[in-house]
Amino acid sequence: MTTLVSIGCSHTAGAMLDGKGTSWHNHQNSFGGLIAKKYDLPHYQMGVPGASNQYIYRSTIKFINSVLNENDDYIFLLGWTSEERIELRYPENTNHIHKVIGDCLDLKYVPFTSGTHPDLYKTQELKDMSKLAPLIFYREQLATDWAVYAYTLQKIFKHKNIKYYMFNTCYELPVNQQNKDIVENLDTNLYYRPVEQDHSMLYWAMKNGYKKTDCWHLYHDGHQAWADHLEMLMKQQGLLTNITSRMTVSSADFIDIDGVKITTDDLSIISKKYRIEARFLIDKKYKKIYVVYPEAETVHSIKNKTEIVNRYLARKFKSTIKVSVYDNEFYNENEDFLINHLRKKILVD
Amino acid sequence: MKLVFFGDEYINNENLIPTFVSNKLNLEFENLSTNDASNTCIHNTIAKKILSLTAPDDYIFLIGWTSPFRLDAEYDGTYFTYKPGSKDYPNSMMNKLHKFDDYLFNKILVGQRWASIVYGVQQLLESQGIKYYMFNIHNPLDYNNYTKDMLDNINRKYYFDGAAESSTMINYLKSRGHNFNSHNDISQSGLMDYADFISQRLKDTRLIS
Repeated sequence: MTTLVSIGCSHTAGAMLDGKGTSWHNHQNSFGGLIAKKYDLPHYQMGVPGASNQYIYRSTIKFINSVLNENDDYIFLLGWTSEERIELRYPENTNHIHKVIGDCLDLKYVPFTSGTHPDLYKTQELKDMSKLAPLIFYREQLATDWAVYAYTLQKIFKHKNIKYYMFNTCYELPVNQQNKDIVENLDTNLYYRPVEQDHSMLYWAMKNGYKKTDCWHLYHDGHQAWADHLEMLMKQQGLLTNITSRMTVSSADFIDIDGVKITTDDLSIISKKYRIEARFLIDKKYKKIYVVYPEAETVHSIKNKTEIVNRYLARKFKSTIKVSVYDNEFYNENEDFLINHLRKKILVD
Repeated sequence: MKLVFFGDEYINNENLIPTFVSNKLNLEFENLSTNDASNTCIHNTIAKKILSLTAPDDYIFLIGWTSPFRLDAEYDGTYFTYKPGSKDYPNSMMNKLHKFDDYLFNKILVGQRWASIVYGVQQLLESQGIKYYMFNIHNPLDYNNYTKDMLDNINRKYYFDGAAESSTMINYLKSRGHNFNSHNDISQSGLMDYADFISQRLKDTRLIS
């Protein structure tokens, strides 16, 4: 099965394509969502408004190591963004999160850009820090980092035989004395005209007559046009041949983790014993156990109940056996939807 | 066979470690370490060096990772790094940033960033058939739920105990009785001791016969 993974900034997230902001609707109708829909591929939407090239590099490496299944086929679509952006993280001892929607996101990370209005930051520290942004953004170095990130990922993708296509979403990759050699060695068959602004997603669409919003994002028609253009470019590189459409998945009867067999009956016993109303799902492919609670359950409650489940699993089987992901959304959805949804969530605590 | 060194001021220090190691192994060396470098800067230098190689398998890259708590900065054309706890900068305005160190140097943020650089550099070198050996100078890699997947997949054979506190160059030398002054400067005998250790690691891992 082929999976599409799109990683980038607001342009990749499809922000403002409906003229309003970010939403699941916009995610699904972003250029990545449109390509996934056309080829009936599962889609990891990892576009984050304000995201940096640091984020794109880190998340790609993280995805390769945490999510990627060796038996599957993937196509990564990386939309590089402008250089004056970095990642920060809310201190762990605070409750602050950067609330955005998307797949495999860690919401403690907060994008920090030179152009963000201070009022958009949640804490006074970040508002104050934005005034000092010029001290943090060493442009020449950040442009070099961008080139090195792209170069490193190209080599990794090639080494691991993973399909990918790269492009810029809003600006060209600036060339300077530090990064000149790296830029010249980027594989431009798989990175669309990296140093030409007119061939970034935004400027390409504007040049072709598509309108932008007041905050410089494309509408639905611009995303459709860019999806068609990308499709043509990807076809030229053979990226869309031999792909396999998504298959319906269902919860398995049993799973083998670390040499221990756990069955649906074992999980039903937990549910009955502790009177926990939840759906337990076994993902045989990723060797994971998921639990979905009714929507009415609070975040605090599902966390506590999952701890009870984990304690039981550790006692009965092995200390390493535990629930991989839990949630209180989409309780009544079918197994195929739920398993695909839960595969895209990362639980780290 | 030629050794190429990457790292920060500890490796750059009058070429002492590169000279001692190359003398010990009877090999040529090139020192591409930079005073006050960040790990991002080291990553960039490695990528640029790779492009200049015509026979990659004739080289061994020796990489001393610096502290992950360093942020690239520039003033008036001079590169330096901004660090928590440091006040001596070409641009004194940098000190205003200390108020925000909890955000800039969040432990999980810098840990994940560094882990992704290490993984990326290993993959990059292996994809090009370049031999390498890595070690930490100041800090161990932070092995936690956020970095676990990346660090479980790094090649440990060519990385001296990346996640162990006791295995950093500074702690290794302290454990062997070498003294550091208040600026963490080390004596020539300490650097020689570490050069011996690195030389032996290259032999033990059969990078050098």
